[in-house]
Amino acid sequence: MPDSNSKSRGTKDDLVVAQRLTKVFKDFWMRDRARAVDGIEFAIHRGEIFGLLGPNGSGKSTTIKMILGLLRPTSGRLAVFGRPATEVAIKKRIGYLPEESYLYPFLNARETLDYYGRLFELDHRTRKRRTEELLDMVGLTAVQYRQVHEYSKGMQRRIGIAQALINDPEFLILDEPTTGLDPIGTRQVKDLILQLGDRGKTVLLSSHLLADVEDVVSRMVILYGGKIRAQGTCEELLASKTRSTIAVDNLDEETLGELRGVLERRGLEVADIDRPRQKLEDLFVDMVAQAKKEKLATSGATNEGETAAFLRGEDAEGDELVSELVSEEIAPDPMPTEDVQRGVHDQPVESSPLSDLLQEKEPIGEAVEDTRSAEPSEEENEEKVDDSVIHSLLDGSGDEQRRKSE
Amino acid sequence: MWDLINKLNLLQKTQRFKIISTIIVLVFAIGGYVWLLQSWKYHTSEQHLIDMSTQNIIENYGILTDFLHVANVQVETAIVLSFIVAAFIFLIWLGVGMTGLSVALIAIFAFLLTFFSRDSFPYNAGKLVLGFTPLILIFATLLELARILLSMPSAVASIARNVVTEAVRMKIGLIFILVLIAFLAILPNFLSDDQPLRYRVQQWLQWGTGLSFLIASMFTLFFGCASVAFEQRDRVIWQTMTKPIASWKYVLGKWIGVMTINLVLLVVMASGVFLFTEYLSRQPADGEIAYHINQRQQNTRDNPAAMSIDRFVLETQVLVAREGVMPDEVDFERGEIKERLDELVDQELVRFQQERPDSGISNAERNEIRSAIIETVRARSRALLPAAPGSPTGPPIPFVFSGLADIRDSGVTEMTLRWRVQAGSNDPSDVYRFLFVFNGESYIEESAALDGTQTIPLDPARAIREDGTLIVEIAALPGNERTAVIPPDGLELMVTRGGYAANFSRIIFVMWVKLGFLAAIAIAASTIVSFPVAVLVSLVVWFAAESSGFLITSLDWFKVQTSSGSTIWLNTIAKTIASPIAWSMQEYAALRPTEKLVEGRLLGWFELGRGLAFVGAWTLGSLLLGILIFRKRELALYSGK
Repeated sequence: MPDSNSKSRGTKDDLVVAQRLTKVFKDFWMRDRARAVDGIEFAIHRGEIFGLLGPNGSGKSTTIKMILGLLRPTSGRLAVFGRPATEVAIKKRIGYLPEESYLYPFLNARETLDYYGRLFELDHRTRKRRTEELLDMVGLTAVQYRQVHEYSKGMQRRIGIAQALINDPEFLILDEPTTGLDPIGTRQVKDLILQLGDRGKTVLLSSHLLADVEDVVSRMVILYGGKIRAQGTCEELLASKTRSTIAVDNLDEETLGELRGVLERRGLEVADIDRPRQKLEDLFVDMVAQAKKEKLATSGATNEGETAAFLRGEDAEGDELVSELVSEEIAPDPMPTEDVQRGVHDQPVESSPLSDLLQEKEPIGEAVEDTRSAEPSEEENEEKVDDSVIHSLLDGSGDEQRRKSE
Repeated sequence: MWDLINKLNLLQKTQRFKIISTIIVLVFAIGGYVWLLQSWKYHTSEQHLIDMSTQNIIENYGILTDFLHVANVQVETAIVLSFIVAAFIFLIWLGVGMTGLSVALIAIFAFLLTFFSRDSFPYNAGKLVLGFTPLILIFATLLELARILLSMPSAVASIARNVVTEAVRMKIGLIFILVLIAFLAILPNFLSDDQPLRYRVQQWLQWGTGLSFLIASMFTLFFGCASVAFEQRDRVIWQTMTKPIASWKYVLGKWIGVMTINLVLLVVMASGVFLFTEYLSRQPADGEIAYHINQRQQNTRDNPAAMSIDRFVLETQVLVAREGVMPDEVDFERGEIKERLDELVDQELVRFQQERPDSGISNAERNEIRSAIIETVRARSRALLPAAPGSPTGPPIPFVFSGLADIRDSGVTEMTLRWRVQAGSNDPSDVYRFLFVFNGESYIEESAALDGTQTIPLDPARAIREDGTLIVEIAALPGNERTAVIPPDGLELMVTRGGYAANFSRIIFVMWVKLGFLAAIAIAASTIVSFPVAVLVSLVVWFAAESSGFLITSLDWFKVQTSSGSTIWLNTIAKTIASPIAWSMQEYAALRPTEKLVEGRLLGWFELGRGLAFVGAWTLGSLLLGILIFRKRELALYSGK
């Protein structure tokens, strides 16, 4: 990985390069009104998940709009795919989800996706297949013929996410993607981002929900007042240099006393001893999964879908068939159904740690339900708990560390 | 309810529905025809012919006629049935099969209601619904056709297709569309049966096309502005313009979308107007007992001399395409007339100088004096002074129509002199009398109410002289109280040049071209300003364009200098801005489609081409301006809320 703190000179691996990028908003009389972005420099490398963090008014959205060509820089240089950000051709490779879902209220979900597919001049067959897969992925298949203005904010957000993916973009820009989504949707979006990152896609994620960013990004920039205050990998920015944590099974008082003694002899003081807690998001996801298993009715979005096949790299139906046939020839043992569904031709035959993680985190979908329908063994449970506790003890960000370590 | 309609709409677009419906239609059509053949079997059987040959000649004649008639009906029925089946299958495969069936069922029900007594509620309701149904069906069919045609995987077509969808789903577009259809459906009920047929037809054409065009223009302005401005206001454009869409594709797509829906509306309007005109023109005219049957029970279709006046005027002056020829204007810039005019101007200047010896005379004043003299001469050359006591007529005023040789040689048989006079306050109870003398050879006495258009039919072969001129002298007959004046557009020779249907099509095309300009203005305006301002700008441009003829005349009289010769700066600036605009828009104003249709005037190809070139240039210019603005815009800066 390139030096994360280096200033952006731009290499062929850099998808976005900003140099002394400045945006000043002017009033009617062309007097400076606000310096939204002030000489920032950063680069987004190809294939990374890049976070843009900052409080409201820090310049995140302005930066994104300049990357998209919706605003022009007042000064500085900005290149996207090595071209000026306003160039139309590069937009073929970009997917964008704005901070709110700005959709045509008179179209239904299906028409919306079809329309955006047409703007990319996708052929009818591709549009149809992608539309169906995306609708399924965002859980709107059942309500696809309702006009968008009838949708709840969360449902509109889902269709917004789907439209950003219709062109299977190389570079996905997500501005506050989890706003308005329920925890299941939030988890799904985060899983999707990870999956896209795994496929080599570049993702720019802007959010002020720090936990969301922390879970998925590999590198980030923190903005305040239009200036960069910090930038680097999560490891560089978040790892504590003054504290260590140890995660073990429940300790009795005697062992604890001995441990304290050892540490005191070495001149170390125990700051805190606590019992680790499960994250609320995990608890919520588990409860909804349980309710779905019990087939409780809902009139909203269903969260049934798995990531669209074309986004998992299973774009060509013919390739899939060939791949299946080849797999059968090479491996006489039948492939597990779950693996075939996830696209064996793009993935190694052995499931990757990331896909294992995705399956483990996946709260919905048949494959996951199948996995969860069997009661985990006590050992498995223990292993899971231990893992979580250790990560929590490390720095309190279990998911991020778990992802990194895997 | 809407869910059910939505589901049915989706169902009628499925392949399975189309195949099954087609089979059902074909089975019914073939079954029905076979059943009809069975019922006609005897009439066309060999047995029938044998029976015929065994009977006497008189009976044979009747049976033969019956035989031939039935055979003929069989062919006709097969043709009509084929058309109906083809239409149904077309609708089915267009994806509006169920819509068509629903509308047809409603129309049948409405038709049954018209069997109730006249002026009862069911009768009126049935009549009203019957007016709606064909328009709705045409609209739904054309809309679907437009959507299919715009289905190609191109960004411009996609944006246009989206605009078409927007027009029928958003209130701002839908309201205008419904108003237009409702207006066309209801209007025929307001035509009074007591009026002569020609006036009813003219009234229908006037309101049917004129007001429909007005509604379509308003729709274009409001919807065109809304489609672009609302998209910026609601930031939907962020998601569109972050796709690979060049500015020109976006603006062009919007324009094509508005023009597509305009075309659909104009075809609906044209169908409604044309079909009802056809129906209306087949009603008995004044002086007829039935269509083309006069009160002496003569068929007048090929006998104009036996036609009632109402029918004659309708067919020769309304439902035709006539070209107008104006009398020659006096040229004040040539020969003796110029010299005489200069003399008059000099005399006037001398008089002016004598009155104001201390002040000089500016060029503007000199021009004003010249213009005033020209206007006076022109007015006098159109003034019909009353006859002096004892004199048979007042002084005759000659009017020369020249360049008519081609009309005489072309074999045109119908030519009309239209004339109109004004006097004082045009008291409607006054009737004035005049003598018309043609080429100094034949004459006719005519009387007319003031300010009402009158006509005199002429035979071109006899009226036009060898040199291609026609000289008409007009003189007041005794009894006229005041001097009558023929206004500048009060005398015109009308020559039939073509049929009504072709002219009607060209007129609808001109309307579409004009709407194209309005759409371009609306879209260009809304690329930079918010919806209300864009509408205001578009309305101003529209009014300026429509009234540019009047504006040019007004600007001629607009004072830019005081009598003392000093410049009035405000007026000068206004005139400097308004003059080129008015001048450049005059071609738009000159294209008056409704007026031409109502007066049965020809819209020739040359006029059409010239108008198209001018209006097209303006449209293109407006669109280019819109694209230029749009390219320069920072879309995320818009604050039109």
